[in-house]
Amino acid sequence: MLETSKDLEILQNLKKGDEKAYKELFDLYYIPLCIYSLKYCDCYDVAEDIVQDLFIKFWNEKLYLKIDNTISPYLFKAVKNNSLQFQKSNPHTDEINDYVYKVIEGDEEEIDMESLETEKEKLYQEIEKLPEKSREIFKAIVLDNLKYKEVANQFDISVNTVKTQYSRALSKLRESLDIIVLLLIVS
Amino acid sequence: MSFKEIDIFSLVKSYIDKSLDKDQYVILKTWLEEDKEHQKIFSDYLQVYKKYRQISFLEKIEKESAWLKITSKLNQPVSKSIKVKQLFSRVSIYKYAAIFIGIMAGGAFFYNLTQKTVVSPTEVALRLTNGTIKTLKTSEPKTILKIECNAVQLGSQLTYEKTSFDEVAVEYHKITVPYGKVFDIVLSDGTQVKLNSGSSLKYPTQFVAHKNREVLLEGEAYFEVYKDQAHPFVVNANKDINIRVLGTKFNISAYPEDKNISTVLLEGSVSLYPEKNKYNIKNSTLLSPGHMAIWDVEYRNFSVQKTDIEQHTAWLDGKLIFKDTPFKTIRKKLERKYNVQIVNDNLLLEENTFNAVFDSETIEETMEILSRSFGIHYRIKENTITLE
Repeated sequence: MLETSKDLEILQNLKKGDEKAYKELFDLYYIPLCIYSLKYCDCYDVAEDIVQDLFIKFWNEKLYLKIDNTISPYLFKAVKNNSLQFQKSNPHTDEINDYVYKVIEGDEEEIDMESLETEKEKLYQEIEKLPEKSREIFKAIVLDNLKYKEVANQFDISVNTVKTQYSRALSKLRESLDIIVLLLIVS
Repeated sequence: MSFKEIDIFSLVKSYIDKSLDKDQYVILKTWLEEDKEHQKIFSDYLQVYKKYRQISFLEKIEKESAWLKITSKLNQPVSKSIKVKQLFSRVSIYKYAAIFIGIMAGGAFFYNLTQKTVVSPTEVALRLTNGTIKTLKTSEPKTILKIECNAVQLGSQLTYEKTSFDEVAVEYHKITVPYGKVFDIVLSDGTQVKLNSGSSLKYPTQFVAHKNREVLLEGEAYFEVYKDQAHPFVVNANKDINIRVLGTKFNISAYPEDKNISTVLLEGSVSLYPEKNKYNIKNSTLLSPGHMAIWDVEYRNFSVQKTDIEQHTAWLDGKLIFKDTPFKTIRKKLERKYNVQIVNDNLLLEENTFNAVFDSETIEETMEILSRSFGIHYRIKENTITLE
């Protein structure tokens, strides 16, 4: 909760009718909220839409007038609810979904830009350590969100090879997951 | 790794894709319930996946265009004194996948292009699919103009709403920038383009799925191409050569030379090939960082050489940097930047090379500097400068 005082200041200024505070609020929380939304909806466009709609509503309906303490818990909660609503429930997977939310909520720490940047660097370092082929395939699948088949076409290899390489990358990264988590706590 | 584990990966991915069917679900669920260790594996993989998705998202978020979108939908607009940061700051160079500048040096060609145009040559013009031409007034820096298909103009920037790729053929828009102006465009895939004076760009308002993202350039432009490996980005320069963006993180820029098309790469890789050829990695020219590819329009070949990047990107900051540059090139660049005509009959001077750096000088100041440093005499009459 590093940003508490900034957050409170913004709220005070918004209530005073200071419009610059609205831009400050956007600068402070837009990216963290998008990242947070992605945890639940797993779609870039949807995440940004949800957060943008919230910012528009926040201003148009003067929602800040109803907030007494810090703004961030309100924003994060709203984003989570809306992102979960989007998550079209697949009746087959409801039970696993419950389990999944427990997993992703496990790391429910406050998201701020500074820790996002640190995390980004560490994670990229881990990717760079992967063997070249699995690295490229991992990037295509996770970072570019391509389907196995698209990746297979692009690299001119079989779908099974894609799967094998992708699994290798994941299990390597899994080995370093503890290190990543540890590093983030220390840093 | 066991075969079984590979299958589980697939199931985890299908779960994430939401494409898991009932049978697969039963397999995954049974496997999860079999062993506490399995649950640990599953949650670890899920966490790895989520973490990496987040960082890749972090790279892709464009705060400035989000802010534009938000402010355009507020029922009581926020104060105009709240400035939107310029898209093309130095820092942003490293944020995007690909950056390049394509320059046509054929000055005479542009001359005709801008002189003959029906629209007032002092304003930026947008031609829509049906041929109508809209004038984009950039003088009012804070007006927001809504144009069809959710494009928003804000001062000297036109932003298309980010859309998913379309299945069918699309509409084309064409922006023409007159001498004396520069203009920013954000395409519907998130690619950012800065058009230099006396240039035009034709592009689809929405790109087509499973096809290359193709745009047509005449003149000089700086691109920050949004990374999408499934849809290569191809710039067709002057209907002569194609510049195709490959790889992940790289920057390109180009530099005008008479009768040449030059492309300068800042980081990563691009490939170039004559438009008539189909793209084939084996017969295209690959460029590595810090190098410039020059296409000789007459002899129809590429040559590659090491180059100083700053010289070619200076215009983005409104600067001009000349190193051993022939006067005729300097003259053309000044004409474009300041929307003036410079007449020089001294052929010896045309070929002489000079070193110079210009920042925010007016044309009068610039001419004064040239005069004092190189002993050039001139007269200014309205928009024409005559050298003596």
